[in-house]
Amino acid sequence: MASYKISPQNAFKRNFLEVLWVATARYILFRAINAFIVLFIVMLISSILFNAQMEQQKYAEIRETVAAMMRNPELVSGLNRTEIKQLEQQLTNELIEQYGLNKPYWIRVFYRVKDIMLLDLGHTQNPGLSQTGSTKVSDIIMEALPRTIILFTTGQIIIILIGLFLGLKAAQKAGSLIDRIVGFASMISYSLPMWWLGMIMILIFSYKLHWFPSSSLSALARGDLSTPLGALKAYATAITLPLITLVIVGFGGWAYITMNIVLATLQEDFVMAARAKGIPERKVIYGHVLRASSPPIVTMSIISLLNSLSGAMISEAVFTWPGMGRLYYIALQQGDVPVLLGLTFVTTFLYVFSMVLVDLIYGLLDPRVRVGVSSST
Amino acid sequence: MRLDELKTRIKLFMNEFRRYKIGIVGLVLLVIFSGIAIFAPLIAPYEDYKHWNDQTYWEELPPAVPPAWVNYFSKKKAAVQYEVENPPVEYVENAHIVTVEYDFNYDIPPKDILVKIQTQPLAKPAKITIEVTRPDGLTILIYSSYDLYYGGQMFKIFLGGDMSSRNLLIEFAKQYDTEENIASIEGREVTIDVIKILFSKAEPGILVGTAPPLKGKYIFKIKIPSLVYEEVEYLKVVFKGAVYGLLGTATLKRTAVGRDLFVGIVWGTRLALLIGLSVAVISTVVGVLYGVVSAYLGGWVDEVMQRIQEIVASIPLLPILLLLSFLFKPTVWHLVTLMVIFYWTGPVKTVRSMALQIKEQPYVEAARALGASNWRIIVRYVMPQIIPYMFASIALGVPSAILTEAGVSFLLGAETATEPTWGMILSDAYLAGATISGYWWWILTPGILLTLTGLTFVFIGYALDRILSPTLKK
Amino acid sequence: MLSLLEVKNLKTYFYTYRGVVKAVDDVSFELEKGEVLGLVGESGCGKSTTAYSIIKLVPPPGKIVDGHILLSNGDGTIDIVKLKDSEVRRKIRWKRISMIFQGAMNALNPVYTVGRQITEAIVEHSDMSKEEALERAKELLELVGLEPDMVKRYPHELSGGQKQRVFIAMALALNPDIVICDEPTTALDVVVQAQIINLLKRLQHELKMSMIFITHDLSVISAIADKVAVMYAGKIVERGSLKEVFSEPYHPYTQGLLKSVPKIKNPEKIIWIPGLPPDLINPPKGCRFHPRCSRAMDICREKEPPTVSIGKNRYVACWLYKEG
Repeated sequence: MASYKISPQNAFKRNFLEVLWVATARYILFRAINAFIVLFIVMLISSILFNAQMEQQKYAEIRETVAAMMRNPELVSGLNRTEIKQLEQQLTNELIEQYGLNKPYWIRVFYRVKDIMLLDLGHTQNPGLSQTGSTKVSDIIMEALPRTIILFTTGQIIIILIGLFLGLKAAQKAGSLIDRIVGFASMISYSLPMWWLGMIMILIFSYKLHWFPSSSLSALARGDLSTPLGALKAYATAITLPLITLVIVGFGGWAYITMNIVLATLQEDFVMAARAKGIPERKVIYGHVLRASSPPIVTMSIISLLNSLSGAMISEAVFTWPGMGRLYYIALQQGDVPVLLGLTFVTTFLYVFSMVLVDLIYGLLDPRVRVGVSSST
Repeated sequence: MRLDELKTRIKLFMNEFRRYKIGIVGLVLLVIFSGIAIFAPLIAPYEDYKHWNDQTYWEELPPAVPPAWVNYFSKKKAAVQYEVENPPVEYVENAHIVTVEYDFNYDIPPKDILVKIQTQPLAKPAKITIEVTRPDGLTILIYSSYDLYYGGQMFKIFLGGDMSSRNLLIEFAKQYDTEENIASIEGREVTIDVIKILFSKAEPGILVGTAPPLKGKYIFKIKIPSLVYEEVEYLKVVFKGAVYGLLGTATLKRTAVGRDLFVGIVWGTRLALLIGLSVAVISTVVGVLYGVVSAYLGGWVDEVMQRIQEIVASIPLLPILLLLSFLFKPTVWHLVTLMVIFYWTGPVKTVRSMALQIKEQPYVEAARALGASNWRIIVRYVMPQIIPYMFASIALGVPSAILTEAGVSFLLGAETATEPTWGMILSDAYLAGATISGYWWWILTPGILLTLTGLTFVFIGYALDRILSPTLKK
Repeated sequence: MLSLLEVKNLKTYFYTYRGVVKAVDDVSFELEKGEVLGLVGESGCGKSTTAYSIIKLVPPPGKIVDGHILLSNGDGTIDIVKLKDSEVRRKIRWKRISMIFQGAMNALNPVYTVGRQITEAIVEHSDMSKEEALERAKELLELVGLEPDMVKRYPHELSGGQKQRVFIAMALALNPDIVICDEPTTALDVVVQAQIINLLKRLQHELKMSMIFITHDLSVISAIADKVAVMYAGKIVERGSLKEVFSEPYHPYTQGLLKSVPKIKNPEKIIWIPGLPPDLINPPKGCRFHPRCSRAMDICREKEPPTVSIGKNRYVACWLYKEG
């Protein structure tokens, strides 16, 4: 490494670059490969399971295409019955060949998996799923995905803020009332079905009090989406109940995890050393303690976040929030296989690569994990 | 470990456990729930449970009504379920006449009236009629069957839904109501609650349901014309309550038939506990063994086992579960197996590091020097230290399993399920619009129980966790 | 002449759910400028708690219950016990009294660089900017024999000895009057121990630092201390200059301690002190050492011995001795 003037500012920059350098080193690469393997296995299994159904659909598509082609008068003019039949058969065979349906089983499966991995998710029979009327599964999912992310991410941010604050306070005042509250809130977090709480919320706030609409879709429909203020209001109305539900169920777990980890950190010697140095208590807690606790907090939290993702998705169905969860519900009810497979792919993808992201963040936060350049000097 | 050593250990443990009141609460709840689960056949009839999806079986119950005890808390009293079986039959002028008296002292009328008749085969097919004398002195014909009754089979009349009774009652009501109201109901006759008409005062508003209730004695006369004295084998009149039972009723999908939620809930306890415990126990035991063995064997075996575990652990549970459930339309036991396949990865990492630590201890080295086999070391040194963690892990795994099953059931719906779980009950509720129609009893009970069952194990697990984690000991 | 630091009748108790632990029970000593006071005793005798009490860093459920900690300040003294916590933090800690902890392994925050942790203390208590503080940090590292580049290192990249040196550098950052060393070498291996001791000696000599050196290792004390205070069960049983205490120990406990140290030159039989240190919630009645004392008398079992002076700056608390 070229030597240059060390100052606090570029000490940080140096660390960031270091992480990037290390990030391409063994560990993260390894985890990324792991993630791909998982994704591949999952899609392989899914494809095998659904192969028969997908192919039936493909055959149906082929028949339709050929039928459509046969209606073209230019093509069939001047042919007799047998020749028409022959032409039909020929076109069908050509298409079968094109879609690779005549190849052996394993090759067909392989092609399907390849398609999916390359993000060609196929088509669905149901045109009503997309707002634009498209039948491409990727379009449908790409419409739903951002909405899920908006709801979920906003909720998580609120949960993190509340949970961190409560957890820190509870750790500082161990054994007090707030400690007990956090403990209890986390138990609720763990046992309360989020989607059920959603139903209760609708019952209370929609049916009884009429403060909110019972369905997010209807809220959006009723709102005036043409003006930015109107759109904002519509979105706010639609998102409030699901958001509150998410936060109520989620903050307990976060607070509890934070509390435990911070409690453990508070017993470390360097905390006492920091106080001995005359650092004000606030800086000790929010600087030293929080910073030192952040790697395990982040890891545990992302894991709990991923776990709550499933609850959140089911909640979407309850609130008819037009995201991935609701899409899952509809696809399941209607037996829409291409959409299901596509959803499986996207969800698994997000899932496994969030875990890689966790490792990256952990490396950024905890210098002990950065095995690399500096330790060799 | 020797027996007396074990006994003292358990005693010490119980003393520690007593310190955590929350663990005691958990234990009490566990006993209650287990009691309900074990004694389910005594509390709620198995017949009811077996016929959960049988429409005919439940025909006598009102659809989607609150529990009976609601009457204690509201000013307006709702009609309670009232059934009359085989009332006295007179034979007058070539007809069987059955008289049924009904005391209506409520504010909210019954949801429906069901009349079930079975006679011996009639010589001549008959037209069954029903007449009622109201407390206000009016006597109305409320039913005249379109189809003739031949006898021999069960004849069922749902006065609320039958065309004949509906028309008769609507015509009756039109005599007393205003032009306005009659006009307003044009074209929407199917939405009229005719039973309410029957029990309302004959004044304006009777057609649209705003007339006050007419309280008093109602005398129903059911007439079955017959030539010879053929016996009435069976007759039952059911005044379907506006409230019912301990927990209210739910509807059978897409019908107006109600089923007793109490039955579903009680028997659902069994399933919940069974699912939760089997998944938690099996997956934890498998995971613990996996971790210990992997740590113990070490070397490349350990590496491979860990990679496998990582890969399986990275697979997101819900999407796969949904996908597979969709394909196989699984029974509850399929779900259990699938969940075990995913859950076993949980304890592996922690257990493995515990086992590795123990492996390095001097007393293990000493034991090995003395010639102890691997197996003996695992059983005698490693497992006793891991078993407490295992129990805490099991306790905390149960709520997760129960909730996952409930969630999956909720999404998939309870189409063909013969054994309802709480999740399926909630699924029915949602599809029947319980949230927007205010059927709170349908939604609250299964959910509260799900949460409570989860909390039971969380309380126990929390107490166990505190006892075993030195950092949290204060 | 006023001592630099005078601890008078200090009492620090811990209020736990099992009872009140009298960790420091009526402890008194003085420290002059440029002196090294060695505080010796077994584990759990209250040495560290005394040290924490001086900078009011006793963790709850501990509390300073009684006594005075007088720090000379210009012409007068400040009683640290009477200061508010915020004042202790701003005026005393690190600026006038700093501390080196046992096991620097964990006393440095693993997520911050060494430089950051040193500059943090400097910036907190002075007007220096971050850049100036960093320069000073580099000087300090050189002072303790480390490369100035180490400011950008993380603690886990350093060896035990290096970490302890870093901490020493950090402790000297504000030129404090007193440095308390709480078992700074206990967690290190013997070779590194010697290096650190030598470093501390050199620094103390060059900078004319006053130190309170806490340890249970008598050999380390003999290498660095000017005067010694022996602690047992929360009380000081003997005090004097190093030479006096080590060559002519008065208290039976001190005698026992010295006898239990193996000597290379005189291979006598090692005699250790029988029994265990007492429970500080319910210490023995009378002299706390009496259950283990081979010369215990009746009065020892009844009444606590007062600290008496048996020479110039020579004190002992034992019924065997009278004033003078």
